[in-house]
Amino acid sequence: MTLAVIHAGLTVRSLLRRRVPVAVLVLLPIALYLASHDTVGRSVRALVFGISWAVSTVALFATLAARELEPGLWLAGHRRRSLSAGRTAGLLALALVLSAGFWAVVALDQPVRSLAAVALDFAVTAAVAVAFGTAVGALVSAELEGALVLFLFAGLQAVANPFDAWTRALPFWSSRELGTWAIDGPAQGSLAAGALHAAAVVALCVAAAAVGTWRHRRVPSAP
Amino acid sequence: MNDDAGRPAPPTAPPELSREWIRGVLEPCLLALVATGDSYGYELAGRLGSAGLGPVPGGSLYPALTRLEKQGLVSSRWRAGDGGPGRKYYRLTAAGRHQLAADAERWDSFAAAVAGLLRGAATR
Amino acid sequence: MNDADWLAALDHELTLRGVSAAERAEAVLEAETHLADTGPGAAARDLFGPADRYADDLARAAGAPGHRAAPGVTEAETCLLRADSVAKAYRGRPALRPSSLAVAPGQVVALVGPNGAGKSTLLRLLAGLEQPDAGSVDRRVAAGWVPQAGGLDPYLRPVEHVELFGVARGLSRADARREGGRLAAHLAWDLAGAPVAGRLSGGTAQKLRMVLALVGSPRLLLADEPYQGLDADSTRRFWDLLWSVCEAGAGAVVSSHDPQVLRRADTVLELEPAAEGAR
Repeated sequence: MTLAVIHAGLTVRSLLRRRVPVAVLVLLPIALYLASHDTVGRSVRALVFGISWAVSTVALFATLAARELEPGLWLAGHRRRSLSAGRTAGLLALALVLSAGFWAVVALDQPVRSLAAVALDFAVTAAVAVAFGTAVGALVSAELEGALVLFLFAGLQAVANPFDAWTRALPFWSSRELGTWAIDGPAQGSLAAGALHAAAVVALCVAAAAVGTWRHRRVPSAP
Repeated sequence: MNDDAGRPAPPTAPPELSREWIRGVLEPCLLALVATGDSYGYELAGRLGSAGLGPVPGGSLYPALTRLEKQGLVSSRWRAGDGGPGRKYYRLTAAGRHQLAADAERWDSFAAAVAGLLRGAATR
Repeated sequence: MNDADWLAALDHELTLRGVSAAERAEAVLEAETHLADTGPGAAARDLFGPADRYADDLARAAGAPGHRAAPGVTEAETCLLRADSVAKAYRGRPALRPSSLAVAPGQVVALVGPNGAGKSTLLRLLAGLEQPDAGSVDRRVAAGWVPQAGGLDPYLRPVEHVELFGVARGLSRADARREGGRLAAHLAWDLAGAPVAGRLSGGTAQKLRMVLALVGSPRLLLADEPYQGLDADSTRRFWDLLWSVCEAGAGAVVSSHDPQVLRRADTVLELEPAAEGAR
C-alpha cells in the first residue's frame, strides 16, 4: 500500500474518532433538511448547504491536524504533494460516501425531477467543500479562526439572493446553481455555468492552499 | 609502555616486551600453538607466557582469536566443563595450517632483516 | 568496578557496537571463564582493559557494524549535514547568531546554551523547516525529527503513527509496526497497547516522538531537547538508544543541557543568545 493510500485511511480514521466533527458532518445537513422538509426545492438546497458547510469544516480540521505530522514526514523524505494528495483523497472519499447517504435519503423521501442530477450536485458540492476547507485550513493558524471564516461564508451563502450578481463570488454558488438545475430543470439552472464555477473555485482553492502552506512554513512555532 | 590510562602492570613482570611487537606476532603464534592441539583462551595465554612472550592480556588475546576465526584460520567449539558453562576451544583449520606454514617461512627472513638493522645500528 | 559489573558493562558496550546476540554471549562467557581460570587477585579491568576499549577491539575483530567514525573527519562526500554561518531573525529581532556545524556518519553534535540562545531555531533551520536569513544549510540525507512538542495527531494511536512514518521511510506496514515495537521496547514502553496520542502522558508522547524519528533507520537525527519530560531511567534508555543508532552509522544533532552528553558527544556547539535580554 502506498503512503498516500495509508495517509488517506488514517486521515479518515482520525476524523471519525472526533465526536464533534462527526456529529456536525451528519447532523447539520439532516437538521437543515428536516427544517425545510415541506418543499422539495428548499429541502434539497438546505441539505446541499449543510453538506457544503459540514464537509468544509471537516476538511479544515484535517488540514490543521496534518500540520503537526507533516514536518516529520517531509524530513523522512516524502514530498509534500504526495502527503496532501493522500489527505485530500481521504477527505473526498469520506465526503462522497456521506453525500451518497444523503442522496439516498432524498431518493426515498422526496419526489425529484432527476435523481442523477441531484447526485451530481451533491458530488460537486462535496468536492468544492473539500477544496475550500483545505484552503482555509492552509491560510489560518487555528481551528477557531477557520471555523469563523467558514461561518462567515455560510452566512453569506444563506442570505444571498440568487439573482444578485455578487453571489457568484461565493464559493458555493455552483452548488446552488446545480441544485436549481437538478430540481427545476435546465431552463432555470445552468449545468455548464455551475460546473465551470465549481472548477474555477477548486483551482482557486488549490492556489490559495499552496500560498498558505508556503506562508505557514515561514512562520516560526515557539522559537 | 602501555596505553590504557592507569592500568597497573600485571603481577608477574617479565622482561618488558613491547606490546606492539606482541600484537604483531600474536596471530601467527596462536596458530602455531593451536596446531599442536585444540586449546582454549586461558591455556593459550599461559603457553605464550611459558614460551617467553610474557603475559598476554586477555584484551589482546580474544580479539586476535576472533580475527583468526573470522578469517577461517581456526574454528571454534564449546566444550562442556565440569559444573560450569564450558570453554570455547579453538582448532586449526586446513587454511590455518597453510597460513602457518607461510608465516613460518616468511618469519625467518623477516627476523633476519630486523636483526641486521638493529645490530648494525648498535655497533656504530 | 568489580568483575560482575565489568562483565555487564562489556555486554552493554558490545550491544552498542552492533555485535550479534550470539557472539556477545560467547564473548562475555569467554571473558568470564578466563577470569575464573586466572583466579582471585587480578581484576577484569587489569586483564582486559576498560570494557569499552575491549568491546571496540572485539567488535572490530568480529566485523560488527561497530565503532564510531573518527571525529573531525568530515569529507564532503560523507558529510550528512552542513550548515555555514546560518543566522535567523524574527520580525527584526535576532534569534540565532551566525552558526556553523557539520555532521559525519556516526558523529553526535550537541547544541548547548541557555533558553533563547537559538537551539530550537538552529534545529529548525537544519531540518529545512525554515530558511535562514544568512548562510546556507546543506542536508544530504533524509532525517528523523524529534520536536519538543507537537508532531503527533491526537486522534491516532501510536501504532498508526508508526505505520505512517515507517511507510514514509520505505518500510512495509508490518515491518514498520515491528520496528516501532522494538524501538519502543528499548524505551521500556509497550507501543502496541497504547491509546490515541492525545491520551498519552507527556513522557510517553515523547517516547513516541523518538520512535517515529528512528523508525526506518534514518541516517540523520535532529532532536530538540528530546529527553524533556522523561524520568531518569527513560532518559538513560533514550541516550543508550541514540548512541547505539550512532554506532551503527547515523549522525545526530541534539540540543541538551546534560553534562553526560557533553562528555560523549563528538562536537559541542555552544550557542549564546543573539538578542539582549532574550528570555
